Amino acid sequence: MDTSKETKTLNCQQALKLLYEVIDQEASEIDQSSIREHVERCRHCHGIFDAEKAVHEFIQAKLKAISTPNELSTLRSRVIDKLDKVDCSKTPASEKLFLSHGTDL
Amino acid sequence: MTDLTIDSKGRRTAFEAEALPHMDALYRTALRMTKNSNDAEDLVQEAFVKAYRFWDRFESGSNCRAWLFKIMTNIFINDYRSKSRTPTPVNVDDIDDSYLYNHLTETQTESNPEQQFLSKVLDDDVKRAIEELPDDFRVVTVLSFLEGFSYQEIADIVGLQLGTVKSRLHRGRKLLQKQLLEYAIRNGYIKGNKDIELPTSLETSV
Repeated sequence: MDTSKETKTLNCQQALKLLYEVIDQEASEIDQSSIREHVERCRHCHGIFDAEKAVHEFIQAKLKAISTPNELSTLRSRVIDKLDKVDCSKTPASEKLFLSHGTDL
Repeated sequence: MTDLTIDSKGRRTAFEAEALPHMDALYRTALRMTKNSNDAEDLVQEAFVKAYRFWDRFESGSNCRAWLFKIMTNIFINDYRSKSRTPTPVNVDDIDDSYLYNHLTETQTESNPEQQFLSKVLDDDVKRAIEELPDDFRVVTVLSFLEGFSYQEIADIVGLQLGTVKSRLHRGRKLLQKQLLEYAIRNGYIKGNKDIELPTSLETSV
């Protein structure tokens, strides 16, 4: 397989546009190899990629670190109680499962 | 009557077996969404109750975790999200893609400037930065960073187009970076430069 045909030559602006998709592992194979190729020869973008990747991994790790479960045993028993109440109640679900909402920002 | 009891018992058992294991994940996301543990617990309870009531709608074998998150996020957006509907003006267009890198390389001397910077960032700084994100940005950010949902999954969970999710994540990241840099400068960890306050004139298409 001649992979050179599947790699696009990108300029810095194009490479940076794909930055986050690559970091989030959402980029296509072609995009990934094209980015890799650009970053290998462009020091500036290489630095930016490294920095952004480090910041992303850092924030992910911190988010996990601060998200310690908090007295989940009481939450669980509360949920079980609520499920019991649903079982006892005879009224069928009449409302909509997913309400529409405007999320314009 | 006996048949109904057996049916509902089976239904309840199946629900507990499949849905309850996701409680930890739902709670930690609820906590980041609502920013306080009482609301987070309420939100999780509401989500499970709704999921149970609509359990027949769930396609056995499909992604239960994503389905539960969709239910919970939908409740959050409709009932818990900040009632002040005046959208916070999100000034992120002055932050281009090399904003963080440029700032760090200008003010730091190390070869990996981001490492020096990150070593000073506290857990609490990240927590505050996430909490200070506008609700709609915080939701997609947490779903992505904390729960690892794909762009497409997030789009389905929040009911937005894929492009909107990408754009929102992108802008959310820029906001987080701006916040973390500002905290670091305010706390004296790194030197500031004028760019933090003043917008650059670079065009960004996000």
